[in-house]
Parts: sequence; C-alpha cells; structure tokens
Amino acid sequence: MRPSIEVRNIDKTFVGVHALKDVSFTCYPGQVHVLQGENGAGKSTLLKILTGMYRPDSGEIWINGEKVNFRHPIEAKKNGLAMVYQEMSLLPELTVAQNIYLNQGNKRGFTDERALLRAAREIAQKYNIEIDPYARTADLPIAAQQMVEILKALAAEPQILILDEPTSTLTSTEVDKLYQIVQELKSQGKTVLFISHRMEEIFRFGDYATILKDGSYIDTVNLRESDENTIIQLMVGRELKSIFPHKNTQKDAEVMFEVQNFSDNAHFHNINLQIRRGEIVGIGALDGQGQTQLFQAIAGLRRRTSGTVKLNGKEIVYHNVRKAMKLGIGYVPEDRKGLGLCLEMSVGDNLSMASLRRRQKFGFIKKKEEAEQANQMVKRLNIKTASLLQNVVNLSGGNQQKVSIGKILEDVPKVLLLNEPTRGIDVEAKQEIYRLLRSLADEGVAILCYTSDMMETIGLCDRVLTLYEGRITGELGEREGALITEENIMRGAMNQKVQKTTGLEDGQNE
Amino acid sequence: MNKEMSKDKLLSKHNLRLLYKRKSEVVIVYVIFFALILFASLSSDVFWGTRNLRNLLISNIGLLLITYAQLIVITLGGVDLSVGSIISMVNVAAVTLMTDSVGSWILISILCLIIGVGIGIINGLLVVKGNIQSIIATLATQTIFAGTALLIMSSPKGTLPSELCQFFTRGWGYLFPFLLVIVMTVLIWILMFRTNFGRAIFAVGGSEQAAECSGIRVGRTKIMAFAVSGLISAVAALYISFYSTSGNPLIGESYTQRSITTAVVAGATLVGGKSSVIGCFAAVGIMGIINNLLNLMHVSSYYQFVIQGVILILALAFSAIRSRK
Repeated sequence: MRPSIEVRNIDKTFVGVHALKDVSFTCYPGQVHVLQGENGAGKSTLLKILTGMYRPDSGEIWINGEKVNFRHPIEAKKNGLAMVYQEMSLLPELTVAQNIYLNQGNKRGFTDERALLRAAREIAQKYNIEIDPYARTADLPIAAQQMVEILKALAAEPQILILDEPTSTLTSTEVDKLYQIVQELKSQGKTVLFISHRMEEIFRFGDYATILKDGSYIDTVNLRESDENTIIQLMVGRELKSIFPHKNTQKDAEVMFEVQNFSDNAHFHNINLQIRRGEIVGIGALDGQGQTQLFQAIAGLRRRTSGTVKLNGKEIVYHNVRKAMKLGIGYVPEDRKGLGLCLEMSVGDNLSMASLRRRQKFGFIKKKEEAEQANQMVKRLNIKTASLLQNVVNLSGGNQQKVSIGKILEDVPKVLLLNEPTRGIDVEAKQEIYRLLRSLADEGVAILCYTSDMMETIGLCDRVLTLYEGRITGELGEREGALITEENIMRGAMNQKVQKTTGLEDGQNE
Repeated sequence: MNKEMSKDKLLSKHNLRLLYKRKSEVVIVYVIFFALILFASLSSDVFWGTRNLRNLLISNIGLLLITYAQLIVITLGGVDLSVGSIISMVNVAAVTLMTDSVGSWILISILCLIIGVGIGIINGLLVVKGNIQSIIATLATQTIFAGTALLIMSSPKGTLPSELCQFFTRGWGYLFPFLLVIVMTVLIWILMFRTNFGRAIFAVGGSEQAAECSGIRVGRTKIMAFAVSGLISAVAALYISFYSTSGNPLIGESYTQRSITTAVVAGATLVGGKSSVIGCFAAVGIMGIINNLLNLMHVSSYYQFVIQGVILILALAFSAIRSRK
C-alpha cells in the first residue's frame, strides 16, 4: 500500500535547541497513527512542520507519494491536511456555521449565509453531531466548541486529519462521537494522526504508535500487540546529566507548608500537598494538567472553591496576591515576558516591583535602600547586566528569568512557587537556578516547582507529586517508598499506578 | 561584568551612555527645543523681548499643567479625552460662582478641584469597574461634561475677579506663575519617580499582568491615577480660566488634543509604561514657540491646528520606529 504520510530524516534546530533529530516515520491510509512522547519530545514541532507552520532544516515530507514543501498552513490544507489545534482557533463572536466555513464558501468575495447554514447542518448530520449552526460560538459549552473545531477541520474534507489532544475538553459522550467519526474516516481510507495523554484513548483509537524521545525517533509499535508498559518503557530512558546540586539531607523535618483540599471544580480537584523544611517538591505532569491553575490559586491569583492553606502549622487566609505575598507566598509565573516582567522597564525597577511596600516611608520610595538591595540581588543571582538602569528587554532569556525570580526573592518569601523556572534558557543559567533553589531550600524556604522537563524534576526535587487532569495520582520519594524515576513520573502523569520499591502495598493512587 | 556595581560605576561613562539610550527621546526633544529657540531668535527680533518672553511663559502654563494630567493617564497605558471637559466645567463653575470676597475665591477654587477629582474618579471607575477602555470611557465623560458646561452657560459671558487673575498670571512680578510651574513640575516628578504610587503607574502601564503578579493593586492604582489626573486638570483649568479672565463653556475644547500631542512629543508611548516629566517642559516649549512665531509672523491661527496635527503624527511615527528597533 502506498503510504499517506512519509516523514524522512526531518531535522530541526531552534536557537540552542535541537528539537528534532533525524526523525522518520510512515503512516498508511485507513489507519490511526498515534504520536507519543514526553513534554518536549518534539511532537508539536513535528506537527507544525507537517502542517507548514515551520520548515524543517533538512529532510523530506511525502504526502500520498508526492514530495511536498509547505510554506504556509494554507498549502497544507490544500493538499488535504487538516489539523484540530489544541488551543482553539474559533472566533467567539461568529456563528457555528461561519466558523466551520471560515475562509471558504466565498462567491466572488461575497458570502452566502444561507448556503453556509445549509452546509454546516449537512456536515453536522453527516457526522451525527447535534449542534445549532446558527448559535453564537461563545455561547456554546467548551466541549461543543471543541466539536465545532473538529467539524471545521472535517469541512475541508481532508485526506489526513491531525488531532492534537482533541479529547481533553470533551465529555465521554463526545469522545464516543469522536471515536465514531474516526472510525468513519478510517473506513473511507483516510489517515488520522492522533495525540493524547490519555492512555486508554491511545489504545482505543490508535492502530500504530510512533514514540519520540528528546527529538529522536524511538520506535513504531502495533498497538494491538502491545500494552501500556511497553509504551511507557519506550518513552522514558533519557540520560540524567549530573548538573544538579545535592539533594535534601535532612530527614523528617517538620512540615512547613500545607495545602488541603484545594479545588476550583474546573482545573484541579481536591489537591493535598505538604512541603517540609528544606524540601523541594516537584509536580510531575504532562503539560496542561491544571498545574498552572493550581499554582495561581495557591498564589492568590485565582479563585478556588474550597481549600485551606497552612504555614508552619497555622492556617493562613488570603484572597488576593497581595495578601498572599504579605504572608510569605511568592510565585514566579511561567511566562516571564508576559507575566513576570515589565520588559520596557529597567532591571532595578523590575527587581523592586514586588517588594515596594518593604522600602517605603509614607508612600515614598527609599531609593538608596532600593538600589542597594537590587545590587545585592544582581550579585547574588549573577545577573549579567550593564547596570540597574538597563532595560530588561535587552537581557538574555536566562538573565531575564533571574530577574523574574529575583523580584520575588526581594520580598523574602517563606514559600516559593515556581512554574517553569528554566524554560528556554541556556544550560549555564539553568544550573545557576538549580543551585539557587537548593540553597534557598537549605535556608528554609519551602519550594514547589513545576517544570515540563521531567529530567529536571528528577534531578532537582526531593519529592514529586504526579498530576493527571487536575488530580494527584501518585507521590514519589524515599518516604513514600517509590523512587523518583522517569518511568514512575510518566506512570503517574498518565494515570497509571506508580511502582513501589517495597512491593508490599499497592499504595493509594486513585 | 557585574562583580562590583559601586556608586562611581553608576556615574561612569558607560552608564551615561545607557542613560542616553533610555532617555534619548527627552534629549532629542530638548535639542529640537533649543534649535527652535535659536531659529526664533534669528528670525524675529522681538522674540527675546521681555514682553514676548513673559507672554510665552504665562500663555503656556495651562498647556504644561494639562499635559502633566494627560501624562499620568498615558503612562498608565490609557488616554484621557475628558481633560478638556474638566477645563470647561471648572471655568463655567468658577465664573458663575465666584464673587469678590476672598472667602469665595478659596471656597470655589476648592470646589473646582473637587469637580476635577470627581470626574477623574468617574473615569477611573468606568475603566476599572465597568471594564471599559479608557479612550471610550473618557470619550463618554468628555461628551457629558462638555455638554453640562454648555447647559450651565450657553455662550461666553461673565468675568473672574480681576485681582485674582492678575495675581495668578502676573503676581509678584511674574514670580508667581514661574513658581507655579516649578512647584508643579517638581511635585509631579516626585509623584511619578519617587513614590510607590508612581512606580505602580509605570508597572501597570508596562504590563498589567506582571503588575498584578507583583502584588500591585492594579484597579486601585488606575482609579487613583485618574483621580490625580483630574485634580491636576482642575488646577490647570483654574489657571487657564484666570489667564482668560472670562467665562467660556468651550474653553477646554482644544486642550484634549494638545495635551496628548505634547505628552507624546515629550517621549511618552501610548502603550504605556514610559514617559518623561522633564520632557514635557521642552515639548510644551516647542508647541508654544511655534505658535508664538506664527503669531509674530501674523499667520492665521488656524494653521496652528494643522501644524499640531502634523507634529503629533511625526512624534508617533518616531516613537513607532524607535520601538521597532
């Protein structure tokens, strides 16, 4: 049979990151092919190359026996590739029909609304989806919007449909619908490329799975002949580089920070976690499992529907960031450019921004103190800047990240939450941040950290909580009798049972 | 590179260059300002005359003060279209209510300041609680209060107490208006660069989300900034009224546009987070001298509008080019 997609020796490097290394794989018509890998394994980059958003440095892509070279997603669409994006691409103010046929159905520059509605109704009927084509998209529940997104891709009548985490917002009824759609496409001899973090769906939907790791091709397996363990084994096995500082040596220190029954009924549910003095606790999860929302809720940036917080055994109450910071909870957000820093302001102004209230007299800034403390922070974090007056936008990513952390440290937090503290920065800066976090932990700051790089979680953290769809699925650490290994984190992150070293009990991972 | 950042390093040549890099707009505004002065003194023999210089000073104080009011909102990342209506409201209120007693002068002046603060707070609440963009919110209040001013006084009439007008525009041998400029400039500068409130304004303008994540009360900062802007507008309005000495419900009309122009010429960017108080002085100077020259050359004052519009486009284009670099 002629393959529908042939990826040959694709290589792609971004500034400093080798995202894809000589990746090749083949899909055949009438099959559902799963792409699987950890965070940063190269799945997204590969999809973006397939759909023409990025261009590969080298290598070839063959679609239906023809070599293609897409320069724009539109070209990919014309060649029969349609993709359902993880982030929704719908325009909220348009009707369902308008969204499905966006950029289509133009008759000499005019649109025929009635024809649109008719076509939308037909395609919804064809795939057995109940939806009002005349509804304003923003009024629909999120799951229905996702179905519109899928219909939009189907409306182009693609030969190849790419589904990137299509089910994360769907209810089980809609997942069943999607399953039927995929079966229908298969029977028509079309190809589906499927990505999901839900193990049961991988096996339900998929025929074959190609596993990527660290940007390299690992293996393609027949899903009918393999099981969860095989997949996880293939995904893990990266090398732990010895660039991490020592681990916590204190045993049985007292619990410093405690979060109980945290829920927001949307992104995270019934979260309980403790951080002991001297500990760095990590969250082990695939991207988008509610970790960011959880961090925001603990930091006071987001509302929660239930939950209490205890610091040094005493319950603390707060409903906004300001109060949380006063009580000693500092949060370093994941996006330093958008959330962490004011790029057009100076290093000095940024460093002091979160601790203004500490250096004031009747609302006036104590400039001398401010400059002294900022200088100390520049020295302590080894921020490479010409002066405090330099605008942050002119610094390198690593130094920007240090400013983003230093700004919170100037407020002397007792608890430090870090979301992706090393994303997109060079190795040297990463190591400096690891050492900094360890020394902070040694000084008695309770640290909770999420990083999408699982090797970093393993190397840096003393204990790891795995998170899957907003729920804690496992706890790894010496005390818990489960080793912090890549395999165990992957198991927890994909809602499988973690392996206990003792083997006596089965543990309580629900 | 950053081993020792002692004090003398902060004053080293490198840092002076950095300062220029950060403040180049201000430097450029002053260069243009001085070039214009040079041009003016060469092209007109009366420019340096005491009368003309005095005139230049007292006729532009109003614009300078209203620019400060605009500057605060622009730094916040917004724009305040209602400053003109505050001027008209204050003018109408002052002319209608002021009598010849010192007591009424003080009382009505305070009332005028309250009007300014009140309109500012309304703007702030609309922006924060109503979640309306400042350009739309202040467009609405501008229309409402400009209309209210016309309801109170439908055509120019009435005068303000002449002693008061004399004092504000010529008091202590022109020392009073001069001091007013100095004191207001210093106060605004301190507010913007030496207080937590000022820093919060810059932070909110720089990145609202980053400010929020830093524990800055974004909503409160915005409301207060609009209130302070309203207060300064009212001070400017009082001065403008005393300078004109008479009642005119349309007196504030042109000031909205002029204040935005001067703030942008002074180096503020309309996306917020960046502005210069010191630059305003030169920017107002530039606008003032251009008008002054046109008057001295007996050019129709309508050309002044055309020229101001052109200058605004040039200044915006310049800052857009700079930020693209």
